[in-house]
Amino acid sequence: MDGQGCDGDLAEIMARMAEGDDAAMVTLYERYRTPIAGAVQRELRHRGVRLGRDEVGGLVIDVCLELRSIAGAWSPEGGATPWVWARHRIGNLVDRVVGQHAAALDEARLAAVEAPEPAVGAADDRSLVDALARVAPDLESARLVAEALEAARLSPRDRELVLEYAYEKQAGNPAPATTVAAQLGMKEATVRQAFRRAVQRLRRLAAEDERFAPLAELPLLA
Amino acid sequence: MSARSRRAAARARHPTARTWPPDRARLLRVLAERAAGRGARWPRVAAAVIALRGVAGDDRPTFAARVGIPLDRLERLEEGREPPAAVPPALRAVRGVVDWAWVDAGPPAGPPG
Repeated sequence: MDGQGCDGDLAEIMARMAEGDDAAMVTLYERYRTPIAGAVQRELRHRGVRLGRDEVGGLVIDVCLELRSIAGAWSPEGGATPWVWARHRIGNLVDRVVGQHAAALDEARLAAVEAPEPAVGAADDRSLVDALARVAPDLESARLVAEALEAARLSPRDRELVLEYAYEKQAGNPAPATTVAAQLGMKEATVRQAFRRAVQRLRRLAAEDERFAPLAELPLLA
Repeated sequence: MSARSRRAAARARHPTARTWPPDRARLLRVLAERAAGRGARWPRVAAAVIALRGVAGDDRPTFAARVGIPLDRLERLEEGREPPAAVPPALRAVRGVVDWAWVDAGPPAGPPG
């Protein structure tokens, strides 16, 4: 079971968790830990942090416990999986762990700086476009996607839309257009249409320019 | 190799195609801590039985019937009111989920309630 979508199985598990059944939390872990791990890793990527599998594994269990505590508030009617619906909670759990990895505050340096400049780094990524731009110099596939978005002449809004939509889809959100529409303040139909057009342009680019041919192998264009 | 085959192979290699490996030992420790927090005398027994029912995906009546024990006995096991020796053989026979040596080595959490 790959955990994609809000099926009846997931709704039943969440209902039992809402009743306080710890065994249902185990069932959630057994059947859906892979997409939950994906949600955790996304939050880590947004913060520019890499953790070992052991620490991510601990966070996956923490997320299951967190979802158990708020299971009663989730509804399958909303269309989002619990780990997409509760992504801010997941972000908070990640922050608790990432905080333990932060470098100690340099008091002397802090005192020397009267007007701190805006920090540059992962924590400042406001969007997936920002995150992509930051990792592109070190990651070939990210660089290729970033260059393709540029070469396909997608607008800044469409670049954001394509990345968010593709992420939601990969994360198991059965209604990515609903989520992205809410994020970008657009209509769902417009989101779907814009995504379709943008992907068509990227596919054309991959077909016509050999440099971008590897794009066809990415889930983004699948 | 066709483009379709190449795409299928690429998907299979992609990280999203892989499943996240379970860490059941850690999950059992978490469940045992929760059971101890609820006052279970035998928290590791509680954790093991809850984990097995969770893996099965059953509610309590279904699982009790599956294992062949009365519902109230299952409830006592899940509440950590039974020692390791009381775990039914049908549960101990399940392989790959619970480290029974860990369960058996677990001391009682406190005086019987």
